[in-house]
Amino acid sequence: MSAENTAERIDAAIAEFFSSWDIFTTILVIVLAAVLIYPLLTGRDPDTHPFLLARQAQIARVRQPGQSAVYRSIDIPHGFPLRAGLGVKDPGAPRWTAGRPGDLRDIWRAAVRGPVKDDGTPTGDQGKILTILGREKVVEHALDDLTLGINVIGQYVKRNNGQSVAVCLSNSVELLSAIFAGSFYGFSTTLIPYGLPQDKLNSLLSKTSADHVIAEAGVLDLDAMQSTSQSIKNVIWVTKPSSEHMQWSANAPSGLSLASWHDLVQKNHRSANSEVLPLDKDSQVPPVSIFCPAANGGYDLVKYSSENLISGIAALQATLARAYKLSSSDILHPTTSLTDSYTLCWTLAALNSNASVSLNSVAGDNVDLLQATALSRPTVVIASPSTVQAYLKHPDTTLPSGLSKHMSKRTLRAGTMPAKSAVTLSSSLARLRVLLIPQSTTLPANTRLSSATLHTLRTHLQCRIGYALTTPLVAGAVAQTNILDYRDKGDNVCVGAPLSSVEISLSGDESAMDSHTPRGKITIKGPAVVGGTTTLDIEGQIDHDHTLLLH
Amino acid sequence: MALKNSYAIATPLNISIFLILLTIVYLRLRPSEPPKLPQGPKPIVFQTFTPRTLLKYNGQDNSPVYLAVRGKVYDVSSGRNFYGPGGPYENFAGRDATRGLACQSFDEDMLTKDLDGPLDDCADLSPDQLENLNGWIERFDEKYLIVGKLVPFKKTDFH
Repeated sequence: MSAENTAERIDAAIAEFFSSWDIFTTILVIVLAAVLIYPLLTGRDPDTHPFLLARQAQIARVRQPGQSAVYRSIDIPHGFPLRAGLGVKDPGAPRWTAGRPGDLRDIWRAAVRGPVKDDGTPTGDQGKILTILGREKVVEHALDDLTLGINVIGQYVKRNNGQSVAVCLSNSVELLSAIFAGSFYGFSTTLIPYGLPQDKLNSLLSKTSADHVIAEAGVLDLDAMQSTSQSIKNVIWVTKPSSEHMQWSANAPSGLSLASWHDLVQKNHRSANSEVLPLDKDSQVPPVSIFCPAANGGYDLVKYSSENLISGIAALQATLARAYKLSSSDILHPTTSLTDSYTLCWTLAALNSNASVSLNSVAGDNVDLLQATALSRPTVVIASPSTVQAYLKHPDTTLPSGLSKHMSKRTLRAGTMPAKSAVTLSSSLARLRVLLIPQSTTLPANTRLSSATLHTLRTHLQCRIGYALTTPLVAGAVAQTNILDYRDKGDNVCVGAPLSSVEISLSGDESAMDSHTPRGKITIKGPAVVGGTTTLDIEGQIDHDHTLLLH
Repeated sequence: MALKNSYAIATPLNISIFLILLTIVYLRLRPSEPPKLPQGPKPIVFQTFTPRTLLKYNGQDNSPVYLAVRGKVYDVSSGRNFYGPGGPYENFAGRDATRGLACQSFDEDMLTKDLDGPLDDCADLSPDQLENLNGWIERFDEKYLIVGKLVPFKKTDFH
């Protein structure tokens, strides 16, 4: 009886509770349902597993006294060789072999072959190299035409018994062609930064033992050069299309023979010349030397062996995780000079991945990012820290504020990249997916970008960022932030985990080393390091997530 | 009338649904801390041992078990059942095990008696024994961590 009573009472209570259902209740229930369902429809998994960001490098279990343990990229466990090769698979090689390490020639071969299908047969299309001239003109180069140039210049230098070629060009296809010509025809190339004053240029040239110079028409004072660098016997002018009618090869000083790149290529235009030289596994690829700016304002000549460059290229390629790899739909645009190994390695990596490359002769430390990318609308951009800072400070750059900023930050904190905003979509950076920023150790510390600045950049451009620590003696980079790491570390300058081509350790006081976050001078070892090992002047610290902070 | 209306909205039913709604919105918007992994052990410092300083790493009282082969000191604590106290190889713990491993013998007389003397250079081993030793070294390099090197005790002016 009482049980029935209780049941009845509960029933009545529930009935009364729901009897007050009205229009507001319905609205509330609809809102509640919307709040519950919305994340199911729009929610995305984070781009990478949070644990991969919480521990970004592997630590060795034993350390030397006075040094920290050795830190390595998570791809390469301790005790295994660091990444030194591209894993080039020759046609006909068994499918599951690791592949050859490869050299620079294999990169050009891969670029000319074009992307391959799963079974290894080429799809038939190729990447392109675009040259951007001024604000309006884009010249598209077919890779077969460039192969012709590589062969013609290579044969010309070989005919003149050239051993070493100095290259003084802005970012251009001729600069890349000269490097490849050197690797195919066995002469070393020395890259000289573009835009130096005449006397500086001559003093750098005299430090090389070059017998050939490839330079932009008119930038060299031949008489002065002859007196300072006696070894130079041949000069190849690269003429701009607008000045091709001029007789650049006339009036040569005695003992110097002048030729024009353009004329050489025109004269030797035979179909046999536009085929890539066949595979030659016995010959070595000569080194590529670069005059790198030093911290004291001078220039140091750094000689990168082919192995150094290949290791750097392979490791940089590996920093783009599987779903974000460079592919034939990408356009890489370096706004930094190709006479910097980071830029050169990425450009070669793009060619190796059959991506397109767009080159602009205006390149360096302070470039207008929007103007430089206006014509090619690249998907991957390399920009120096000062270029990025100038872009953020530019009056036309409207940084997001209020709700959109809050929403972007929220999405980033959840580990996903927000969709491109209308502002970004209307700019020339609409297709930008990865922004690469090299921070050279030779740049002053005030150019460094804090983690917060990178975060602002991410919320603004909605692109992934790789902020790399580079140094002249390491091909490629020492360390680079994980492009999927969207965390904001405030004012700390974080350059991420070591690349798979190097291992780093810190050295300093034993008290500072006996810690989970040791701090000291950075020592780098690995196949990408010129001479095998080097120690930097700057101080670094390992963070709790095993990334490198700069102090 | 207005008061009555507001009462009409604030029914227990509406209030409870509203509270549920607030809770869910709070849970959704609450900033979540990124996951942290527990910190691993600190790296071991590479040390230089003499036979006498190596002696105390014999696994007694839960200390780590080290043994030396050909001048390299291995941390064999993960193989405590074999190399630690009570194990078949316990004589090797904290000692130079080169001769014992080469001869495949666990006897006391395989160990170098004089802890302050020179290290056993094992020059008298047969090719078979050397091959056996190299097999052991290969296995140790694969399996165990090298935490130091073993050098003979050297008398200095302070002694």
